[in-house]
Amino acid sequence: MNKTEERIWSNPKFQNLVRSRNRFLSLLFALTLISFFGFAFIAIFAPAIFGIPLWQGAATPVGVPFGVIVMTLPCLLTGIYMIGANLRFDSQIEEILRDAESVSEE
Amino acid sequence: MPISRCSAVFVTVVLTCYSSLAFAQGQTQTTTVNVAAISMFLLVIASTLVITWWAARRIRNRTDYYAAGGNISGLQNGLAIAGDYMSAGGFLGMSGLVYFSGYDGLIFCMTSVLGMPIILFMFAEKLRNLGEYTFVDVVSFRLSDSPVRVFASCCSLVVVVIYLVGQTVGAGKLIELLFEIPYVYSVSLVGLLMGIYVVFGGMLATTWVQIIKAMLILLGVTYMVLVLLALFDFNFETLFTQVVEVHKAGKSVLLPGGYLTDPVSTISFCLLIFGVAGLPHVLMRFFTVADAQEARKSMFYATCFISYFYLLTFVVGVGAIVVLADQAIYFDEAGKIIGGVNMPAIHLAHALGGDYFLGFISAVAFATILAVVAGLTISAASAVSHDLYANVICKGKPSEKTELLISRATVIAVGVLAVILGIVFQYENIAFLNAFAICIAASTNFPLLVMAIYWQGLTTRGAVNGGIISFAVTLCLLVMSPAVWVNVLGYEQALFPYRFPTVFTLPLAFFLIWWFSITDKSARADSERSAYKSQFIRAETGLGAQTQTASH
Repeated sequence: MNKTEERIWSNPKFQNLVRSRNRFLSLLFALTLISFFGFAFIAIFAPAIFGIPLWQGAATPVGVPFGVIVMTLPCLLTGIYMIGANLRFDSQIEEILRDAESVSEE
Repeated sequence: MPISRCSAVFVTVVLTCYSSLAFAQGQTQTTTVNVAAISMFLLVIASTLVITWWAARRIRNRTDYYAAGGNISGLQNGLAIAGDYMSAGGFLGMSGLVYFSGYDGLIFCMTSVLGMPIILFMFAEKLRNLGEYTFVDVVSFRLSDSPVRVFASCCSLVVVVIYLVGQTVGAGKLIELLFEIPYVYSVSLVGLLMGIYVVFGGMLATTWVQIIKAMLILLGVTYMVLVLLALFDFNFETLFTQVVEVHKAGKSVLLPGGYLTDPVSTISFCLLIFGVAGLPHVLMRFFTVADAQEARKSMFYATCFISYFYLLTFVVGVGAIVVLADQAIYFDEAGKIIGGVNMPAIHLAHALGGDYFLGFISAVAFATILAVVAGLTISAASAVSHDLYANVICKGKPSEKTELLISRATVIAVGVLAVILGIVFQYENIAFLNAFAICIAASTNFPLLVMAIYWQGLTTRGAVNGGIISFAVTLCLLVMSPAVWVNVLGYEQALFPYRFPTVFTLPLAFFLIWWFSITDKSARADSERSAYKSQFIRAETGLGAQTQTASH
């Protein structure tokens, strides 16, 4: 590691950034997997749920809106991450890099 | 590149089309060649060649050629990434699958959509911060260059070529059907056009062809769905009521059926989303944007476009069930749909919008194929010229001129190979090829990339030995699976009973890479482990990534 890297590594702001970003990412990642695997497992173990009519006498089974939700959830999750990262992480990263560089110029 | 050569090539292409069309007409008197379709088709070819000509004049160095100069915006890159998944297989194949098997088609579309957030949450930003032109750059960031690059780029090549053959065979069939050009001509035409885009226009032309096509296909499908839904007063309940009445499966057409039958195949199927996240030609697109922030934006846009597109594709397939049902012109005497399983969307376009809309959708389907094969080809070319030639043979100090020359030669070689394989496999059922490529990507590229980015303990020995074994095992299991062992080789019983082996091979790959890494006691391994910290800092902050781009 060079000096700039040492400085970044020992900067508590950096450790903070990594921790909060990883927490955020893991949560969204888990939601993605749960929605898809959950959908698939309900489909094999309880397919009857998919066949329940959306309302009394409807031809549309609940499986259709259920599928649509699983297909659109990724838009929501990636959107949340994008907005969250734009608002929080970018400025923090800039600050960390500025800190490291300002010291190395002295 | 000289303009005269470009226009000469264009004239030749047009002449070939016309002469082969005339040839087809002479053979089958009964066919009415669709004038609207042909003019749209030529318009598409002409505009893509104009883009190539424009791009060719802007390519000055490696970064321009491999990464479109790093100047593509998040929205543009999002469209291009979405375009990679909105392939002909995605549109015609998936709407066809919905037409025949209903809800199962929707489930199949989900793997592409769900792969997107995986790419964003695991790779997008870190990939941009660590790599230069290919995902192999990232895998070999702190490992010993040569062995890792040789293995990882060979892996990329295998995935890309398998995927490519799937596309060219599909393309040849489609063009043969739509325009009645004989198969050999249509495959060669695809090979020729793709070669022109990539040789002269590099990633810049490839990206813009992909962007324009993505907009056209989104527009076309939106229009199609609006016209379709107008028939049902924009009421989904009316649509589904008629679907259940018309389809021979009755109520179960809107229920899950064939793909998700037992836990093992279900998990294997679900794990394919990691393969979608490991396709080299898609990962390459993150190097065309300026920084991690744009990479993140491009994944958001790509996710929205793909999700929107596949939802509409589902509506198209379902609508085709009802609309085509009482129209005898789309079926042969035996009651089978004319042109086979991929054609319901094309027939629906004709039923809803007549010759002009049919022409438009056909031309867009053609553009889709060209754009996707061009993207695949440039990723194969960069694997050979950037990973193998520049970094392994020249130890990272190649002359830029020779490297680009080798890249262009590879494009031509890949184009010829794709055409030949396309002709060889023309009578095989190739529907499984895309899924195979995704399977291999899930069992080698994906674990390699995850371990390289997230695990300090990874060593060259772990990456290479673990990768090679899991690659070989995956390949063997795929050959022994029903799709090849029974359908292609003609044996009675498949040696491996499941459609996809990912549930076994993906964990195996992680285990092998881990095992060969922790048992690696060499001095090289120690220095690789200690280099992780600075890789980690660069991945998280982009330190060093910007200055590198700026220096180009």
